[in-house]
Amino acid sequence: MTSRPSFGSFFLRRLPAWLDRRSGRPRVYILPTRPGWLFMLSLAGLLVGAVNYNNNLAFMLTFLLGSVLFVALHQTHGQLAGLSAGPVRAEPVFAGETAWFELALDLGGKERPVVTFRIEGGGETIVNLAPDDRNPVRLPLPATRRGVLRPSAVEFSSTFPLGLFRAWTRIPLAAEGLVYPHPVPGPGLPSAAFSGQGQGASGGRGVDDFKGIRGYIPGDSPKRIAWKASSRGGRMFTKEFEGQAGISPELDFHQVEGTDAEYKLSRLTYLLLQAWASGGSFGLKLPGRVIEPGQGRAHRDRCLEALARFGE
Amino acid sequence: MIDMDPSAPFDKRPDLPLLLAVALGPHVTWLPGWITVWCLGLWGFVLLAAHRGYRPPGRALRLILAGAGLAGVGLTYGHLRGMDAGVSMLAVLLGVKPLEITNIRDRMVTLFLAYFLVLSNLLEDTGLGMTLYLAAAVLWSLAVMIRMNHPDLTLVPALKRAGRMLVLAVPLTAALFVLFPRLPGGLFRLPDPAVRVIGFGEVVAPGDVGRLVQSGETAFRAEFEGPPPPFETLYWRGLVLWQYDGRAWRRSPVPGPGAEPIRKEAIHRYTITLEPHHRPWLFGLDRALGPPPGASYAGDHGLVSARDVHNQIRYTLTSALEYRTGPLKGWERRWGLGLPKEGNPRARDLAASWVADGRSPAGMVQAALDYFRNQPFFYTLDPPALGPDGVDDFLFTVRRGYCEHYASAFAFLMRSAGVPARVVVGYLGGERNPSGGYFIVRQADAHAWVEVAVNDEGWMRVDPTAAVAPQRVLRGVEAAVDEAPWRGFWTERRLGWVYPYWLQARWNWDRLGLFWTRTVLDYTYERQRSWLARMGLKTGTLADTMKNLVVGLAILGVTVAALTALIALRRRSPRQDPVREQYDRFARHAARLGPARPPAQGPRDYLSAFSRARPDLAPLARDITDTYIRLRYSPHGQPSDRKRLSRLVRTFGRIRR
Repeated sequence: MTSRPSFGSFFLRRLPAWLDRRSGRPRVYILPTRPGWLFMLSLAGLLVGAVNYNNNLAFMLTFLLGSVLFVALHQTHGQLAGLSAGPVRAEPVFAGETAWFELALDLGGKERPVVTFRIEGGGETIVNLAPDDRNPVRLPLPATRRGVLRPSAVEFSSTFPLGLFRAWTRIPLAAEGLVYPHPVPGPGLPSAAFSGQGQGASGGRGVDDFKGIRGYIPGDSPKRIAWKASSRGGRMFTKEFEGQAGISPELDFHQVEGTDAEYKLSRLTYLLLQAWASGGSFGLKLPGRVIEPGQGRAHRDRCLEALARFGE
Repeated sequence: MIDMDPSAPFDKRPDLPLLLAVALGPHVTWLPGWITVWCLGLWGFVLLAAHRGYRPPGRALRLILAGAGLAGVGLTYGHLRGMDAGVSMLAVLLGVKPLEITNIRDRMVTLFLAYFLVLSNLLEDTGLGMTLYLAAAVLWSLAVMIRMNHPDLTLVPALKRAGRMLVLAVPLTAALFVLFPRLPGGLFRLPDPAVRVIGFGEVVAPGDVGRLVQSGETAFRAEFEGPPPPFETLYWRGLVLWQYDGRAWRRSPVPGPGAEPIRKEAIHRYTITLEPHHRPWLFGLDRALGPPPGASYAGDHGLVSARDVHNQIRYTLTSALEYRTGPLKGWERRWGLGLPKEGNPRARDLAASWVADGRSPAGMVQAALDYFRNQPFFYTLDPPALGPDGVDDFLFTVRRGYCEHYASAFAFLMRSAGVPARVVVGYLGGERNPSGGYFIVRQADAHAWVEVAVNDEGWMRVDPTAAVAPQRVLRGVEAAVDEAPWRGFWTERRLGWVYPYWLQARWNWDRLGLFWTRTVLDYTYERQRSWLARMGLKTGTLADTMKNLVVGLAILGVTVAALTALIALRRRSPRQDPVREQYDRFARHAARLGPARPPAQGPRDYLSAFSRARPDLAPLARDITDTYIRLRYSPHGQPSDRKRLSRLVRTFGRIRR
């Protein structure tokens, strides 16, 4: 059920998630769910029956269920009490993909079934936490726009075991998730943009001679995917043609056609990925930031980060 | 919460239908048969639909079904009032309810409604069996709720978790049970909880006692203080029936309270645990010397409770088995001679012949008993039907019947002959439970006899059945008939060698049930007051009782909190981190064999420091440190590494110097 407890939670959820002064742990809030209120209403009905008929077994049923309600309150609270979140990290993604925030948890050696995690702006993830679980919880957050995702908090909630109460807590996050620009394919840059020479004419995409295959990078045209090779393993491959590779471009923001900055960044991203995939060295020139040509994945990531953070 | 697969409209698991069946179960004995079929059919359909993937029926169809069910209940009973019709309606609606279940909230509501069905079972019957039923029903309902909120959980872990919750709930339940104020009466008028009345009514028509005798249900249990009286004197007096209308005997409200007998001997004191029979009469050995609290002693020495007996109750009585009530009052003589104007001419002629013979009243009693003894009368539970002149038919043609027929005919003869007489119904005898030494009196022990007044000593008991079937009086009803219908399946003939064990088990179970009732279920307004007063608590007003409740719960809360904190403290330190603990143990041993580890030194740095000092132990120390690091910092740590680490540390600990 996705509905929240209606009564009072409106105000409580808007309180800042301050930390408990003594334990330093996030405070856990708890309120009855709608079935919880109905359960209490039923208990009142049972109690009236028991009192009126003076029936001790009916009293026993009522009190047993009432005590169970109390135990459920305690256990639902205990689902989150003592649960603390460790470091959070997210792998960078391209805009349009989903960023996965990995949240390391300290379970306090306790089993915590059916805990719902909701990162601010994201959907719900339901996890059964076993006491010796060391794997971080992965929480999705749609990365719609280039930039840096900074979810301010993650909400844990649980209604386990009986669904009569909902306990929840908000933990402030200091996590960043990089969102690279969405790569937009297109022709290569004018020759002036290249530090190499003589190959500019063939820098455009097209019908050059087949050279080989390389790993798929986002933005590659589906027409060029080497389906046969891709079908053999889990990875995707793209066919590469002579004329795309072997260049060592200095990717300059100002050399990219178009007026929209975001579009330009997207184009640069594609070119950068292409350059990296072809194994050559490449550099990046952005207004206010220049990255000298280099090679390798770390270099590529540095360039992509610069693109993601552009204008920050 | 997790929602179910939306493409499957019904829950495939039988949890909820099974819970509903458990809630309905005990009602099946009295519910109209079609309601049972209705419920089981619809729940079966829901399960089938879940597995076959049928679409749920539309709202219109559900409404039609619910309307049809309610109409059926109305047609069956002719009304929609009272507990029986109420429970039937609830059952019919709970039959339809699962058809519309699509999400958790609906399922939970259905589950809560099932609790009311469970409650109505408890109103109908109390005792140890019902207590166990209650616990089982709650346990199952909790497991169902847990599984609703955790769809992956299998049954056994869900039941375990539910059981743990129940156990944790017991202390609070007990505190509430003891402290929650009981009222001397009900709050307001609700339908009578009786859906199935068993026992004597105001009117006893021919065949009524015979029907009771078919039932094996317990009427009450009697525990004697001191040795019990002989079996043939166990006349448990119930109602006194004064009015005869030619067919049935009827009770009358008697003017004034009963007077103490003028002579009383053979005094016995005992406690009765009366099963709910939903009428106000109380039963006691003939003859009780005074009423228990909350009851009155009628002018005909019948015990009548102020309220209908809807729950098991316990009361202590003193009875004198030999007594004289003294001369009859005017109304007693008048009522004791009342007869319809006409009917049963032959019986009247027979009585007139005794009068003509000039017999004394005592002689007439003897003449009537001799008549029963000398003519071919038979004691049978299955007598033929009697015509409009029932007494004549019985005395002169049929001559087959049981206690009720003999008592009725005898009283008629006495009144015709001018001897005051009245019919008394109650129970005779009972089963002595060797385990516990008390008597179990069943409906099967129902009996009817006569009281006559032949002289100034007052009413005295005459049991005409004894003239025909003395074994009924001496050894109980089973000795007097061939087949005991109330035994049902569990007869000696069927069970063979198992029978003694079965009997013993039944006796033990019964004793346990009586113990449970005595200690727990019989917690009434009066007992609560005396119990709390003994604890030094004030119980004068409802406010006092409420205060006790609040204070008691506060004490319980503090105790539980303290215990929880204590347990948490004890657990926390060793349980914090087993891997870290192993490494700390290694460091302690290592400090004994080589350099100690400075507080802030990392494991790798300590390893190199230690290895330099003790190159001989370096390989083992490296192994331990590597395993520790792998468990701690690498995602590839395995449970097998943990065992390995503790084994290595143990080995390391055994090294001396």
